Amino acid sequence: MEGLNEDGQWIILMGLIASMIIFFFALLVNQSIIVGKTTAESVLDFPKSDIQDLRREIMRIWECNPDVQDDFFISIESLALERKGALIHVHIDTPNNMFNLHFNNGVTEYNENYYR
Amino acid sequence: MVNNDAQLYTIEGLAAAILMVVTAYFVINSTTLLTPGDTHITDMQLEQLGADVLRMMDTAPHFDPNGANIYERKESFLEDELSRDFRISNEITEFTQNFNRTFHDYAGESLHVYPTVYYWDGGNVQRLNIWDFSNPDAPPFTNRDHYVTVTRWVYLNDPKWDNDNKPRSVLLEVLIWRD
Repeated sequence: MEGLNEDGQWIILMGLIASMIIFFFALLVNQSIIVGKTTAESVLDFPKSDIQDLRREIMRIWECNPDVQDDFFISIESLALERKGALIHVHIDTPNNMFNLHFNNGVTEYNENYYR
Repeated sequence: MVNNDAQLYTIEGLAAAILMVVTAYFVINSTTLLTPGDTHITDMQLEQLGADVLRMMDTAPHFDPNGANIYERKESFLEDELSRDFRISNEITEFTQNFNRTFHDYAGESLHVYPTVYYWDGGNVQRLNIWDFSNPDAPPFTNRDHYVTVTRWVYLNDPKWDNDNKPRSVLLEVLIWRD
C-alpha cells in the first residue's frame, strides 16, 4: 500500500484491545439484567411453598387425628380449587399406612406417596 | 478514480463501525424500564419472605409436655390464635394486635399485612371475619398498593368460632405490601 504511514501501530493495536474490553464489559452488564429477571420469574412460577405447606398440613392432620378419612380433605380440595386455582387430591390409605397426594395448578404437577 | 490505496484504513474503519454499533446496542439494551407489571424480582423476595414468616408463625416455639394431646403439645401461634371465638368483637381486637405484633417481630416493621381466613362449610367457601380495621397498627388495605399473596393451611382441632366444634383445615390468605 503506497503512501500508508506505518507509524504508531502499537497505539492502534492498544486502541483495538481497549475497545474489545469495553465491549466485553457491556456484554456482561447486558446479560446480568436478564438473569435476575428470568430467575425471579421461574421462582415465582414454581409452587414450592404451596406443596411444602400442603404436605406439612396433611402430616399435621394425620398426626393429630390418626383415624382421619378422605372426606376430611374435601375442605382442602375445595378451598384450593376456589382460592388458589390448584387441583388437589389426597387419599389416606390406612392399611398400608401411607397417603398419596396429587397436586396440579396448571403449571406444575406433583404426585407423592408418603409412607409413615 | 477508483484505486486500491488505503485498503487497511477501509477495513479498520469498517471494524470500528461494527464494534461501536454493537457496543451501543448492548449499552442501550442493558437499561430496563421498571413497569408495575414487571416487578418479578421484588415480588419473588416478598413472597418468599411472607411464606417463611407464616411458616415460623405456624411452628410451635417449643414442645409443651403438659399438653393433653399431640395437637396441644405442638400447638403453634397460628393454630392457637385462629381458634379464637371471632363472634366476639373483643377477640377480633386481640387477634389483630397479636397477629400484627408477631408478624412484625419476624418480618420487620416496613411491611404491612392483611390476613383473611377462608373455610369450607360443607357446601361453600366462607370467609371468616377476623380483622379489626380500627387498629392503628393495621392500616387498611387499599387496592392501589402493590401486594403479593401468600397462603398457609392451618389445622384447627377445636375452633371456637365454629358451632360444630369439629376439626377443620382453614386457609389463611395474607396480603403483604411495602410502603
